[in-house]
Amino acid sequence: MFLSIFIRSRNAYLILVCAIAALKLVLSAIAPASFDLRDIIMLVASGHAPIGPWFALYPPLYNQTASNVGQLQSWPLTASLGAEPSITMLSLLFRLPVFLFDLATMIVLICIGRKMKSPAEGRLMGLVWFLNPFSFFGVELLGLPDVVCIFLIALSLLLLTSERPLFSAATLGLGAFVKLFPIFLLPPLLVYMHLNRSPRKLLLSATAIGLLGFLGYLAWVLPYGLEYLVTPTPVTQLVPFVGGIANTVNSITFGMLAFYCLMFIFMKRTAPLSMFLSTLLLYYLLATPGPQYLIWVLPLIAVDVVFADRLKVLIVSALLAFVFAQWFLVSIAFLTPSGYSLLMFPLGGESLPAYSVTIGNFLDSDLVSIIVLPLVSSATFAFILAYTVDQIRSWFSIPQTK
Amino acid sequence: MRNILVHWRGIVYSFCGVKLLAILLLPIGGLGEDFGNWTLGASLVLHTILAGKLPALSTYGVYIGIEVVLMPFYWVWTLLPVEHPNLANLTQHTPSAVSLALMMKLPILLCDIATLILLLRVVRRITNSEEKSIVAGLTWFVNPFNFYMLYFFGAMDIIPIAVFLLAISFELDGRWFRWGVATMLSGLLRLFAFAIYPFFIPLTRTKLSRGNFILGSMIPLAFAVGLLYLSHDSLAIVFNIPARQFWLLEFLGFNVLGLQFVRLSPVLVLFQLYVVFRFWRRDTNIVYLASVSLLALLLGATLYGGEAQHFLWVSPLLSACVAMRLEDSWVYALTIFTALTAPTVNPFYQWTPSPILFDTFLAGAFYAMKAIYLLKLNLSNFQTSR
Repeated sequence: MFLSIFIRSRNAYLILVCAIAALKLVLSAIAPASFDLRDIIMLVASGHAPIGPWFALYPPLYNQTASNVGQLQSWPLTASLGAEPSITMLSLLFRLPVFLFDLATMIVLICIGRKMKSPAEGRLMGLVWFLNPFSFFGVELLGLPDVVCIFLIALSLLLLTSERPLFSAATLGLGAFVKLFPIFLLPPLLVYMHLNRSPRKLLLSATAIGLLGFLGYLAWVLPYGLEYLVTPTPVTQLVPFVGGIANTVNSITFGMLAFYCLMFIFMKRTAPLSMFLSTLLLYYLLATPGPQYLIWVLPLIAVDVVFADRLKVLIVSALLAFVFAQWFLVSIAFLTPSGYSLLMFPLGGESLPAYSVTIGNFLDSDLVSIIVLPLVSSATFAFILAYTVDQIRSWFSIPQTK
Repeated sequence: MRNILVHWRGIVYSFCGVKLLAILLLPIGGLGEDFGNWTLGASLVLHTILAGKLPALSTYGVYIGIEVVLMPFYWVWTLLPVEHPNLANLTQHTPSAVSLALMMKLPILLCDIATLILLLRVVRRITNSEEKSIVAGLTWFVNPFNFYMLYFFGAMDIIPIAVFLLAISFELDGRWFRWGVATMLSGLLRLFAFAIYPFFIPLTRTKLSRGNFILGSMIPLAFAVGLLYLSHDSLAIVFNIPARQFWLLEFLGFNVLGLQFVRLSPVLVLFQLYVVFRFWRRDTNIVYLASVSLLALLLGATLYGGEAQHFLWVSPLLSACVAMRLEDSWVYALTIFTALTAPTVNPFYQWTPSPILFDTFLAGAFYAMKAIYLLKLNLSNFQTSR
């Protein structure tokens, strides 16, 4: 009800977005560096160029001279809250590029909503993404560079809803160049074009453009040998699409190929959103990555949830709540290398406040490891499974509950 | 068939006699050890109370509720004019042993009869058919699987099961508060009922029913928390129970897709919940809802869907289901048959030529039938048209 004021009025919406953006930037400046950020700092400090998706975190605004390399390395060990101004500035500069992608994703979502229904729906989609604590934690605080691919996927959906499939394939290809997972959306895109009776020439062009991005990906991956192709790594893929144990079925190869075939056989409606969303959700289920990677599908969820019925909204809400709880538990309350949580309270060191000790004891207890975490993780998995099935059922137009 | 239904009372009375005879003639513990465990538990609870203390959760674990219910029966046995030797030194078929078996298996017989009466009532309430309610009652009361589990194995699960059926009966009568009280009480006695709770949401259609159900559920819970406090136990002890009684964790089932923390049982139960909310008819009844939730739980829990004794929880509900849909009687018959031949139940199992071969086959067949029944119940409750 409160949000409807901001969604109806463009000016009020702008004010709200500016306020959220300002809050995100302030918190970005004072939050301690995450383990992901520490990794990129180590890479930069050792003189290596950032690879793959990590280029999004490369600090182009930060002058990397010999004198400040030391400061760069000391940042992850500093609890940034109240630290010296240069550290605060460093924190802000590191997080600025991903913040811009976050903002850009929101703008793309507004455009998608406008294209699909009306500006009000677009604004709501933008808010579901931008106001979501999950995206704030994943993008700005944790520094997940995947936001580049996420932006490109959202852009691809926008281009597809604007009947520009070739450009859509190009943005997917660009996404695949950075990280592997956007390539999984190329087959649904081709099925969509096939169902829309696109000319064969256009289909071939889209395939070629999409695969070009994949070849670009191989170009930067192969110099490292087969490591980034057949082993799990957060830089490229969390569970390899090929490889695994010899003479056994690779669950992702099997699952994704079977899924594409079923999509081709049964898909009767051209619904790009449900095609993209169900594909990414299934990949997430099969690849079984950490909870933070649910952010891959978050912009698509933002689009879907605006048009969803009550049950689907409930499923999404439960899913986000459980995945956030799972993330909290597995990351030991968002612990950072400095011993501080991303929630800005200390978790390590001497003379800890009582509430930190209580949280620490709770997270160390048997109750969490043998009951709470399995239940929360299982609930997350179940809700994602339910959401995936709910997406797939829209292919067939199964009647809904009255 | 009609002949059987006409003479159903005679059949029930005859089986009451058979069951009473089984109590008197079978050695204590029968072929299983559960009866001995319950008797020991009840005796320890009695000694604690006689010492002027309250039985504590930290001492008795999750079975404290049932042991407290059994305690008065054990106490009555101690008052009988027979010898009362130490339980370990009890000789079979002596007056002491027979009287102990009678007293300790009396709650089983009473709850068995109560379950029969409640089943008759529940099915008659749903179907308005006397015949169908008799089918439900007879498939429960003369069922060899139930007979074995109750009188040979000594499964005291029948106590919370009877309470749970009482809860179902209250729901059908529109007595929401009592429904909440009985459901929570059943859950406190045995954890199964907690898995069913979310499935009851579609049944609380009005604010009044929802409020009364929640309020009713809070009463036994508050009582249990009060007892916990008075017996000087803490919440930490409650939370530590799964670490001590580690077999409880088997209810979580295996890891899904090799994932460390994703367990089959909660995934299946929650997915079944989604299926109910998304695809089921709105006018479904409580028996179907409780049946699918328990079947989903049993399919997820431990190897091949868990110990056969846990199937006792679904057994009365399936009796009601088969009475409501007689066309499913072949699935019901096969499910009960495979339950009877499941490795942990089958009394001839130890003499089978190749235990490994039979173990996997029989357990697999039982699991398959439970899965088929779950599928069947889902399909029969799907909406047919918009």
